[in-house]
Amino acid sequence: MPIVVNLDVVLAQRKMTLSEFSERVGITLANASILKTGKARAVRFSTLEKICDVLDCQPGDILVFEKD
Amino acid sequence: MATKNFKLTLAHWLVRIIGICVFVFAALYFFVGIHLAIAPHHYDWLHLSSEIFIYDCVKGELVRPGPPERSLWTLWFFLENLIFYLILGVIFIYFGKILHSVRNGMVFRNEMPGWLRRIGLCFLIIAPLVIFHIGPTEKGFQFGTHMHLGYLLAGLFAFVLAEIFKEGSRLNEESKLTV
Repeated sequence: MPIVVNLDVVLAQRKMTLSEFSERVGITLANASILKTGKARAVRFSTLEKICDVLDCQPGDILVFEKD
Repeated sequence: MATKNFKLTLAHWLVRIIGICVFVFAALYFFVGIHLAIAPHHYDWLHLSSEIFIYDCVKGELVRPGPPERSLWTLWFFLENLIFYLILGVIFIYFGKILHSVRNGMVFRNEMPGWLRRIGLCFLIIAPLVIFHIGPTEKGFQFGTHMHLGYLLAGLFAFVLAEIFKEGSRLNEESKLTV
């Protein structure tokens, strides 16, 4: 998929664990793992809003478009 | 919800029992059919003659197969029924799997379209056995048809359902992978 999720990079920069991230965003650890591994098919605006709030970043920092 | 689950459990077990009965019938047809073709005198008490009457299209009535072909026709009759019951048994196995899956709340699982497609294929295989009848008579081979289109329709319906479940499974997976 041309949309790449850079959540692992942003989490590393913030020194935040996945479980802490999932807890603060309010999603399950399984869903956080799906997002981190790039298996997610879609992200709700409400979830994206919470992620940006928790990580103090822009959507573009997490989601990057890469041509095949 | 509990009542619904109970009904599904009951239906699942009923389908399983019927499936086992169908395989028992198939086994009986296999052994009795072969033995009856080899030694018909052992089965005088069984009065199966009415079962092997076939429809004569020319006369417009049921006729009895001629004596020379009787053994062959009897064997064919039982083999035809054996195939029918075996395929019916396979249909019941897959239907049981579907019921088991639905009972456990896994309606749109990935295997469902495959199971439905196999059920449809089985129905399409047995449809000609039910619709067309061919067999030897005193006047040679006779060919007859019955307007039993239920199996054909059931097969086509299963294929349509398979496509619906395929789309359902895709949407379900997409929904699961939406964060």
